[in-house]
Amino acid sequence: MFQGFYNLTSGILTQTRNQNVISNNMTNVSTPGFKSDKYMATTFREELMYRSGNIDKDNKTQIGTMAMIRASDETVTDFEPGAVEPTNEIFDVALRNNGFFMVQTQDGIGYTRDGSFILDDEGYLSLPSVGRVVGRNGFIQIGTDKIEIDSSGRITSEDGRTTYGQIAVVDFNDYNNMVKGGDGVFYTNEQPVAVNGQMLWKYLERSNVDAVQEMVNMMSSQRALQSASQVLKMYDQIMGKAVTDLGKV
Amino acid sequence: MNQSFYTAALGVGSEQYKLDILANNTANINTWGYKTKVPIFSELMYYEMKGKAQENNELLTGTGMRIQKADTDFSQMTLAESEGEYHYAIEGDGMFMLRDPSTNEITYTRDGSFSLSLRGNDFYLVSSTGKLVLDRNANPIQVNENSPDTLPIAIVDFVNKNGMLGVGDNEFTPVAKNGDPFLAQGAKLRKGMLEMSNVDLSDQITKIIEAQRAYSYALRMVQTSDEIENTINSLRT
Repeated sequence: MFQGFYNLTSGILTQTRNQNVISNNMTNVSTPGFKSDKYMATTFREELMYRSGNIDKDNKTQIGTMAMIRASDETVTDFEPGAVEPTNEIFDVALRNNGFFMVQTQDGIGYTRDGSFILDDEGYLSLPSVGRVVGRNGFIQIGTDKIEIDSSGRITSEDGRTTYGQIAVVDFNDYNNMVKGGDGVFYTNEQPVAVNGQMLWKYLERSNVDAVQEMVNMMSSQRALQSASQVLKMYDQIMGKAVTDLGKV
Repeated sequence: MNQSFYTAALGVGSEQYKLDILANNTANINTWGYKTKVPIFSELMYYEMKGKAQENNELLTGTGMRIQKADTDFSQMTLAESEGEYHYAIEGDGMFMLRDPSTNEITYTRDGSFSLSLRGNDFYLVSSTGKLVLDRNANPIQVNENSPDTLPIAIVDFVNKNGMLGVGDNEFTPVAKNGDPFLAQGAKLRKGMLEMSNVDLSDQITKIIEAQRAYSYALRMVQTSDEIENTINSLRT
């Protein structure tokens, strides 16, 4: 088999995985707090190419390097903040600067920028289907919807007499270790740093997906895949000729 | 088939569902006492594309999105004068209590377009759907020539209205976290007025345009995934 056959196949496979990532970005173009992913591919291992003489095969001269296989490397998340849009929901908050909310999930503490909170069955502030929001002094039990949330996350009753709690905001030095866990929640092993996060009440942060960018990526990925498949067809024809015509028995 | 095909198809379906909710809001722009529904999305699970889930999950990708919640926006709207003799509106927080005569189920509404209904030999106050309006002792209200000018209709409120289920006809039933209803303090009953629908048309139109664009993006993704499948299928014609 020709080396190029596998090279092209690896190209097609990685482009298919790229399409999976792009498709997820496109689909989540209006999900609050969503951060777009970028697919990174790399070459498998660069092989050194040598030229040896026809008769004397001892002194090999290095010509250059050739990359054999294209392989998937990782998906990188872009943490650029999205625009904020006003909603009229009493429990919606959006972070103004960098930082994350903390939620207690089944798999430990998760971090999210999705602020579309509700009250759970016992009256605690929580993210739907995920878990309770962690405040500065533990979970925040509210039990009513006549509240106000100020820009530092403090939740008080409408007449100002009762303070229910304060939403905690944390940040990290290095975002590279954050892993997406679904439902808009990130997980990481790093220790969070508490910050005085500013937030907007009755606002939600929109997705940071750039639809034009994703469209362009999708088109170029599809065309790369088609080009690879065209050359693959040629390899197929060459091999067919070698088998049927040249090696005719 | 690729995962991208199913992810995009899920996006198309969810945007369609969002359009359904927005269209329902727009259609009810003149319905007395209607409360806007707001759909919010959320992502789905992530999986490792390389196959096995390892400690270093590097090549994660998602599987699309779903409707996370479709909350009801209970903010109040202005009251409008109405001709009907038994039309009432609530100024402030609170809801009317209704009982279904056939199932005895209690529901709550802000739509005060009531009328009279003849049951047996007496007239009772009923809602536009034929349910009995209750007073503060949870009894149906009988109307005759001795009745006061403003009938003793009960206005009840909940500790937390977030999450009440809409059952159609502008009526709501409470869930566990709403608590028990209590008599609303400070809410005023206004006779001869009705509360307008709180649908903001400019907001809904903007959201419809956005949903339509997101729908066409997701559809484009479905078509592209299909073309790729076609390319792969025609590798050996």
